[in-house]
Amino acid sequence: MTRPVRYGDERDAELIARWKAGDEGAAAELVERHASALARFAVSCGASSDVEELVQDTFVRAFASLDGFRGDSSFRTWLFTIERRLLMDRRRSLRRRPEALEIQEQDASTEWNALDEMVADETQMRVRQAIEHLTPTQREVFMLRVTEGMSYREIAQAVDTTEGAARVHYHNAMRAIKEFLDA
Amino acid sequence: MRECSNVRMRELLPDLEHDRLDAEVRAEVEAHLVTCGDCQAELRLLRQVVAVTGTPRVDTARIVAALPSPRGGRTRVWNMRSPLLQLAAALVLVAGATVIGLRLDRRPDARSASPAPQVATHAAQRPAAAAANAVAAARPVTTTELPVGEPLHDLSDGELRALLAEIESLDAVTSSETEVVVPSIGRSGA
Repeated sequence: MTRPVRYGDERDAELIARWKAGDEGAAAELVERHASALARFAVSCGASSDVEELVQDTFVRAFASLDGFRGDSSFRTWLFTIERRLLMDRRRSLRRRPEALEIQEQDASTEWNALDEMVADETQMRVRQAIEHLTPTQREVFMLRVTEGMSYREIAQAVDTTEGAARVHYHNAMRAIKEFLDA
Repeated sequence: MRECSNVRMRELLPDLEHDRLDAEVRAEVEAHLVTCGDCQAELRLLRQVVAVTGTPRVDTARIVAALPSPRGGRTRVWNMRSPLLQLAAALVLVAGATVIGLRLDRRPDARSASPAPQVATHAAQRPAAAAANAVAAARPVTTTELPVGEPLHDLSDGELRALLAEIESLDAVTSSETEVVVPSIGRSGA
């Protein structure tokens, strides 16, 4: 039905092996291949001004523990897992510092308004708002499915849930977006 | 916006967009799309979601510069499957065992059976000096062994006084032992 090999997994494995053998150029290609997807996922999870820092931290952490990567999932799914954990850690630390959270929300709001002005199409803006109204888990699952084309199995690995739960989150998200747009 | 009742077709729409379907399934989904207005609308919505999700600019060169070097990573984690490391570990173990064995062999008490008989031998050879040595040797040891039953009658008066002085200088009860209190029957009158 769907093709099992994704995102050039074999190429990733080859690049990882080369990097472990001392080829630093392999790391550059791995970053090039996955940085954009990680940035999109960060934005869809609510990250705003610190997207690049988050992506960088994800790669740094991934390469530091690359010996522990067993290849049970694709390299990209593994990167999403790491990024999501980093995001959750940041959210927790922000919750402990209410002042910081306040500043962050103001920044996001300002950025949101600026972006809104750039979006000419009313429908597109509504779609954006509909996505924003999803629960965090619905949004994560929905965006990984729609923008990255990941299977439910891969999504389940990335967001630490079951395949069935990922499927339910996707359909609930789709229904919620349609209802928001119809309202 | 309505939902198509064919859940399977709806679930395959993202895969269609990302070109993940086999040719046969792809043809099936495309045939369904021709006749299903709800799935057409859902596919348009998916495309809009992708369109509004911009990709932020990321400086990949900066990220690459921040990565740990592969050699640094490898030195932190020892690969114990390496034959060289295994050989080195075996050599260290053999050398350590040899050193310990040689040291044990050189220890004076390793050649005799135990310290107690050694003291007894000395006591048998030179009773007076041996008794004094036994007392002196017994000091640091918690279990004090005096040559009880050894013949003391051939000691001179001076040797006996010295021995008694040594005995008096000892604690009657070591600090680690419990003192046994013997009740005096005569005083109580019981």
